[in-house]
Amino acid sequence: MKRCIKIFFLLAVICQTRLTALQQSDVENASPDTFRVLYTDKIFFGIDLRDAKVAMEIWTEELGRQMDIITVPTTQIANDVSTIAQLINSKKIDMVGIDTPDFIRLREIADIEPSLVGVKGGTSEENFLFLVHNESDITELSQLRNLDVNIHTGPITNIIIDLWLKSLIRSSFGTLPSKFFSETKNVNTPSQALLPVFFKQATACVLGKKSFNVLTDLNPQLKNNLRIIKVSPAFLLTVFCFRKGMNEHLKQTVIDAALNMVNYPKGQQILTLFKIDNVTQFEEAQLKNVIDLMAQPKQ
Amino acid sequence: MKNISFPWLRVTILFVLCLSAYSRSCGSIQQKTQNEHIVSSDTLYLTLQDCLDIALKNNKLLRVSEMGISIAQAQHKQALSSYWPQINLQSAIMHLDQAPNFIFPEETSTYSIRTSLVPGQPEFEMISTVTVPEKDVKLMDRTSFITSIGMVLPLYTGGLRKSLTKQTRSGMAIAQQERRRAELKVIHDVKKVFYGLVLAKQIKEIGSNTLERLQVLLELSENAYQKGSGKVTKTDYLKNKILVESVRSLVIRLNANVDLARSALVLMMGMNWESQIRITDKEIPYQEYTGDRATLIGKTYSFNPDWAKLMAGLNALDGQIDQAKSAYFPKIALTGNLMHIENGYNAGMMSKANKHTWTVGIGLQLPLFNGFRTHHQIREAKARWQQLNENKMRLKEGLALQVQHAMTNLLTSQEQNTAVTSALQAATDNRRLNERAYQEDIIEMQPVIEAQIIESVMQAQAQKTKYDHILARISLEFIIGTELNRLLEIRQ
Repeated sequence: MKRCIKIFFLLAVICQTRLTALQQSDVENASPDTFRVLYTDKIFFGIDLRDAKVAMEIWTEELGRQMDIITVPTTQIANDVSTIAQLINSKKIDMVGIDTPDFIRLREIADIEPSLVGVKGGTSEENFLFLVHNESDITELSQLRNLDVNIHTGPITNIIIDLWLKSLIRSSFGTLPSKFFSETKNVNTPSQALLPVFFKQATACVLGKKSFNVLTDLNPQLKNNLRIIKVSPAFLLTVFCFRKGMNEHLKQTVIDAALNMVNYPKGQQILTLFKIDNVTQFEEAQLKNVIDLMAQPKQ
Repeated sequence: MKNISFPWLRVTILFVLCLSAYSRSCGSIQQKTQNEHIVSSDTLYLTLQDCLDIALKNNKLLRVSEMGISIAQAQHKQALSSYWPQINLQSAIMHLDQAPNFIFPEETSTYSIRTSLVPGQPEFEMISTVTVPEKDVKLMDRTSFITSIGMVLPLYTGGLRKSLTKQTRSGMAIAQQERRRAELKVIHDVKKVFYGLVLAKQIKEIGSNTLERLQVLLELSENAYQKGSGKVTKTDYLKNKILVESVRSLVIRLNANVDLARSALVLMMGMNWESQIRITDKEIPYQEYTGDRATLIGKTYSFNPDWAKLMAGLNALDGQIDQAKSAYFPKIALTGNLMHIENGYNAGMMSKANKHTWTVGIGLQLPLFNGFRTHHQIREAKARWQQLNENKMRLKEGLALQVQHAMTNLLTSQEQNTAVTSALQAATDNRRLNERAYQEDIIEMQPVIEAQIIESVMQAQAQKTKYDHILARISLEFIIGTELNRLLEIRQ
């Protein structure tokens, strides 16, 4: 299961019974105790929708057991910010799971409040690293001009990495990554990005700091033979939001149920399946670096 | 959902087998009992000390041994009574068929008297014969009421009294040691069952947590093969189901173990079988000890009740030897008697002097010859003493061996705990690293599940090792007769 899905699944499970796009009439005819969740299709990057639905049902049943209110969760999928904003503003959606850049755009045009984020490796944010082999004489980014680079682009991370690389290369060298590097190769796993550099089959790679730390814990010689030449700021990748004005008791129940999952074995296993350690509450400061990144002038 | 396949079958089977082994440590398994879920308002929440207090109060064997002390104390008091005078009152009414009499037979006496008819004239002898007729003398009336108070005060018994009190004093000591042994047995049994219950609950929790985790995967695989993309097949689901149901059956057994251990604790405390109890302790305490084995064995002889009982037994047999020897010596006693007779006749024997009499005297009894019986009684007593003395040597070696064996178990379990703690830490680190690697898409789900199961097995092993350690400590304290904290240093 792809990593990025997990946070959304964990939070969206609170509300889901089926992962099918609802008919408009279904939404309009929702009874007062129906709880409606939306998530963006970007989180299903590379995942079969049928498998994703199956996972969501697990969450639904479990959260239904934890919540002490009678509610029927429903879900739908949307693929652009304006559609999501319309659904929120017309009170047809109660919760949204979304990547951070889209969230920043969405909150300008919709009444939403961020509430929960997933935590992995002790933090809810991610740094990205530029790595080269120790035996190369490359110590600065400028030395990578016209050289190849492997980029680990998993779901959601690809959005932030793309923004960051463009911002970094543009601000440092006044051009795009596709023109700065001789070749940029997107790979699906951290090992596929890093090992070719270790074996000197690629010049450089970009991957998440947490991935790098795990790989070096598994194989300490990786750390001894690779050099970090650039570290990104810490970026929040995803966030879960509630519609402003929704039933406060229901909202708090969902939050409590999500926060409680780390406290019992079944909840812990679900968190593990969805590749996070636990869920915590959102803090505004976590958005700063993404906001700064998005504020960079675009070409 | 291709992550949900099950090449980690063998690891899960290992987990099932390990938890089965640990579950057997918690007590014998009979039939499945109901799960403990509902706690009524009459449920007692007990600490270890509460359980010990209740058991010591209710235990019937303890009460039997306390009666033994009372018996021994009464016997000792009986022996001490020989130092006091024995005073008895006797009273009787007698009615004879006839009044007793004394017949003074007829007696003829001849008297020769020399006299003169006229003073101054020569005397002449006169022979006179006097015949006293037979006289029937009544001695007393037919009915008499006799009352007497007698007193005997032994002055010297040749050591008999001293030997008897020596034996009864030893008897009290033996009874007290028997009570102590019974008390130690109660404490030993209650602690063993109590910590067995703690272990059973811990193993059950580990099993339940594992089952909950595996059930998530089972639900996921079931939904995935029914409604997913087809990457997960029905065989994947069925393999998972086999494992989950095997673990579930194990958890049912672990639940039963908890119920059985709880029932055993209720029985051990002497409570009614329907009593609902819950123990508050969640962890088995662990303290490491260091100490010299020889010193510990030496201390055992100061505290072990069986040893003290044997020493008291030797003391009692010493008394028996003295008792046998006392037969060679005279017995001297002071006696006294006061008698009063009520009889309607005031003559004959019933004179005033005879109606009220008192006597005081000193008696002596000295055995001269009894066919060498005393000699052989002394030999018998000495032989019994020698026999018990030989048993003392055997007991000494036996206790030393028991202490050594228990001490070895204690030290071994300490070393095992060190190793298992290290293994558990490694298993936890392994599980955490696997989870992190899975989070970063470096590995699939299977190694994570294997690591979780291995960690659960090590958690159970760690608890079992602590239980073995506390069991060795309880056994050692039972043999020695006191708490280890008083005898050994605690390793910090």
